[in-house]
Amino acid sequence: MRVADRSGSRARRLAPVALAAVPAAFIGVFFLYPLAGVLTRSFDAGTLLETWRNPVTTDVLWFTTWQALASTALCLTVALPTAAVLARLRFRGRRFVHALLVVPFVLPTVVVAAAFLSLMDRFGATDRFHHTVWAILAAHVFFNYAVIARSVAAYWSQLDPAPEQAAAVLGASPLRVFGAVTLPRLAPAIGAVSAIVFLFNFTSFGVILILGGPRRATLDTEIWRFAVQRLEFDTAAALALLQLLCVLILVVGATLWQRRRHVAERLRTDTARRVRGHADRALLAGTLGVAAVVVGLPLAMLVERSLRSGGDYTLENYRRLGQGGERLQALFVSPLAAIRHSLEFAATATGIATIGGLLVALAVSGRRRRGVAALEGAFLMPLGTSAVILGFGMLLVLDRPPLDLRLSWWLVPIAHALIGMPFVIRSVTPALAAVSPRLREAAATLGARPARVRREVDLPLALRGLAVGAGFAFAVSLGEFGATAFVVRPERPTVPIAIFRLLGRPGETAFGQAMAMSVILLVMTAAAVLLIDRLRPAGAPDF
Amino acid sequence: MTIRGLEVSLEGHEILCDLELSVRRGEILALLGPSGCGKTTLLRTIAGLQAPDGGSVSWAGEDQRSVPAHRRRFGMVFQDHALLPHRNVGANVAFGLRMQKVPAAERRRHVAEMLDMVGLDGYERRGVATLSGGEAQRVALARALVTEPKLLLADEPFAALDRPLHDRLLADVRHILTELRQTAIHVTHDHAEAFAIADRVALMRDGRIHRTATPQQLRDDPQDAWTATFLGLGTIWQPAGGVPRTGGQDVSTPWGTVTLTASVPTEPPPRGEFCILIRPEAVRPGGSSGVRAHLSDVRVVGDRTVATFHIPGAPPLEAYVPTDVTPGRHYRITLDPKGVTLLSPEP
Repeated sequence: MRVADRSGSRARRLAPVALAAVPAAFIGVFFLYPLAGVLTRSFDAGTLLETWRNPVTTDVLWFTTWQALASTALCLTVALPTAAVLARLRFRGRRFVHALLVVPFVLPTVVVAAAFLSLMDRFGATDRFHHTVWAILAAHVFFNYAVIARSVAAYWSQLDPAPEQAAAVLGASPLRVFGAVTLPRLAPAIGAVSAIVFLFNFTSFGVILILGGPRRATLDTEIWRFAVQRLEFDTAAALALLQLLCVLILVVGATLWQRRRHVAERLRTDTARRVRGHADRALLAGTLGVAAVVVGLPLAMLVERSLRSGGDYTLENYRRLGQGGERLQALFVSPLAAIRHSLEFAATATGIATIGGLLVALAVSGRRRRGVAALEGAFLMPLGTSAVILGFGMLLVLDRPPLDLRLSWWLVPIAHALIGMPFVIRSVTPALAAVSPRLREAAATLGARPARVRREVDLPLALRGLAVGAGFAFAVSLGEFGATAFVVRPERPTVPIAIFRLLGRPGETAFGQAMAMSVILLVMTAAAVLLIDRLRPAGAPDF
Repeated sequence: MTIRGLEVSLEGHEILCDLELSVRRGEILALLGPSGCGKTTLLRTIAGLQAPDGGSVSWAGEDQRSVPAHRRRFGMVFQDHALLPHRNVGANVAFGLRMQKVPAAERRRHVAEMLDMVGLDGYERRGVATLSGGEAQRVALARALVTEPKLLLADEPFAALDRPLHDRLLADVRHILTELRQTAIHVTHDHAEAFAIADRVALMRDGRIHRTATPQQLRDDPQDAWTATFLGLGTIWQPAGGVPRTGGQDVSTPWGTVTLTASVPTEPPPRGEFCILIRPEAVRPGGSSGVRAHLSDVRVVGDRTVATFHIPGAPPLEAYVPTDVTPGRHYRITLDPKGVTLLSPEP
């Protein structure tokens, strides 16, 4: 909005900068400074090249890469048929299936790992599969199946079917049409999501730590082992730099590829058709069956295992959570205390992320200029950086004055807020962009000052978006493991940390308790996500 | 309100140039012009939503340049009504009063009165989304009027409404504005709407005010070919070299010689090249004298029958005719001098 007042418009141009100053300082101190700390540490140590040349490092890098590639390929194979059905068929409960498919993506990694442990336990396959790459691949498919199916289906359902119909009229068989027309048109969507899924798999941490065991190490798990268990910060920093370089190359490469492949497709609203006939019904049943096995089975086994103790179905595992005592020495505290910590951390992190994200969104809204886009990009960076690097960086630099937060309660919620803020920004920005400038002008002509316009017009209209972002930030904080594993205090574990510690303990009791806690975390996260989906306005972006 | 030498450019394009306009207290001024002539930009500049590159907007002698939109106390009604979707009708109307810190009880009374005035008595608790287009526009009008603005700016408020609703609302709004003695600028591209609502009409063309006059003056004496064409007043005959004038008030046309009775422009155009406007009511078909013309087409416009007559070497002539004419036949036509006006040509 431009206003006739010259000096006023100057102040108004500067206002967004002022708005973003607080979150910018937050990102600077708690994200960029730790990241810089990792870089300088890796250069200063003098052992950088030595670490990189070490054959163990080469092995770790190789394993990290090929497991990520194999996971991505496997995910695509399983998920693309589902995407096809979700894109092309309209059926009752389609929206619900879509919503349900978000759940795996935001599930805490430790819960997924616990689910696969119980799955292997149920079928007596623990000895054969635990600590193998197969367990890792399966867990990665669980995580990313829905990401691929949802994003490809969303793009696919908006494609104009006219080219396919034209090809069919020209005599191409259905298979030929798919290969020659549909698949190339889908390539941008498939390419983009493959790059993201590869990135997730490449930087996967919790799943590999728990399911892979000591012999199946990736860069992220090695960084953790060197930094937290062996306290060899120099080696950890060298590995972190290697990880950052790999991710950077991947992101730049994917961006360049996407730019080259970019085709302006005229997108339509939704081109799915109703389910008709037996073939459609069989296809739909098959797809829902696959989804049920891939997503539902591990979770079902997790719930089942949590209810089993000594061969009987009982609530014993849950009852034991309430008791502290010597059985839970590994935790230092009772599991219920861990739940309390998690909720307190999550509430605080959500508060910080919501306020910070809202300020950033207000600052960038309505100003689609270059500098502003870069500003928004800077705030989204924590989303592209692995939580392990973030946690490691905070561990490295926030231990000396003036920022000696080593023992501070705030370190965990701050780390979670950094990871949650991009979700808030990405759900509030489109909501603000959708507010018609006419409404702001109408309010101005009725006597509302610019600040009042923000409060009376923008804020209420962006509230749903804000609630969605806050919900994601809350869910992410509840399940966060990678960064927490670095910065958590032993006497204040979160639920994921408590589960991880219990899984590391021998014996049936600890395992049962880990399963019970995982179910509790599962329920809390799933509730948050399903609530978000109810609030989400139609057409809002996915993450 | 007085506007002097106003200049506005948007993205490098000059939208308004050297624009002059004044509005008298208590009058309704229609700002009439074709799409893209800068009407909306002018209105937004007056409201303070658009910064001018030059010139001044002043109210009662006070320059408004340094007054931001929210302190000008100019009410605005938008074409898409711009009602706040998260507030009900009552809260939308009360918005401006809240900004002025009017106490709640007083606010409620004013809102009820104003809703009553626009014909939406008791609508306070209705959701904005449940309103029809006409109702929404009435709410938008009430919202702007309840703050007793110094000047009401309406930007094509009826453009999206169907004809009967449009006409009813137009009459209501004129009535309300007159009753309140509200100074108002009403933007429209529809000359019938402008004539129906306004005390004076400012014709706008390519970023300037072309002419300001009462609806009567504009209709009776359009003065130039552009105005007559835009207002759709009739057929323009503009022969190369100007209308041949045989002396005095006589002009000879392909449809016969006419002795002008209507006013002649006070300032003759350069080289004396006039053209003439023949209004449809001036054409008298069916007599025994006059020029033979071919009747090509008959159509019904409003409650009139309009026919098109052709004669070789002249433009098609639009005329009001009785209902019993037959397309394809030839008729003798004569021109009634009262319906023929001399114009300066299109520049």
